Amino acid sequence: MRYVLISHEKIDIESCINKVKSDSAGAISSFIGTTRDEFNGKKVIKLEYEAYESMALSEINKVCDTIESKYNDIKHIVIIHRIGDVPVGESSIVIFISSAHRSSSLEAVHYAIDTIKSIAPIWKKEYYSDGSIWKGNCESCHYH
Amino acid sequence: MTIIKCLLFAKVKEVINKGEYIEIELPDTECTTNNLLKHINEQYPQVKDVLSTCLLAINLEFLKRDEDRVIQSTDEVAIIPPVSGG
Repeated sequence: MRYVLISHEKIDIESCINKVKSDSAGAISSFIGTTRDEFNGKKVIKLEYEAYESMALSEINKVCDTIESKYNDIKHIVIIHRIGDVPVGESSIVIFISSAHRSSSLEAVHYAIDTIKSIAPIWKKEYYSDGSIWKGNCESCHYH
Repeated sequence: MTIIKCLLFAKVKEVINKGEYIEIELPDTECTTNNLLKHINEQYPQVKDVLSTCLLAINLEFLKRDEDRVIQSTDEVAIIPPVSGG
């Protein structure tokens, strides 16, 4: 089972775990990305995410395709990226993967978050008390 | 003339300040991505710096940097600034 979603809603972690549970899985591995309250010493008061939804879903599904073809014991994958306003401290992305053996899902989660951060067309804007800035993940800035 | 609709996101959308997309007219014989970028830079000179850091996506697939491709009015063209999801 694969469940990929771009959502405006707060992410329900418990329901993600339930979606990837399987009697044939020996492991559920996860990554939860949460929004930080500071950047280079500046206080972040609000974060906002925007996505090119159809392409972001397509890119995330490609990540799932790669994982399923590389590891033959993956059971279920849940990837949800939240967009819109995300209050400091809440989850902006969650990845849950179950597998028969732990090494597959641990590696797959690591691959998934690194790849999504570098290629999925999703953008974060940080608001400070004195202004705001669109961020760029350095590995995706196309130059470095 | 061919009209190419370009989807805008994040900083590019903010700098151009025309909403979710712009429409660029290209002569039928010059309907390529390089010409599209040239026309955008001419019509919206304020976007030149940020545009130079962007990639184009055609029908949900990234174009390689510096790749030039023929496009049609039916293609979904998007300007993709450096991403920052996660």
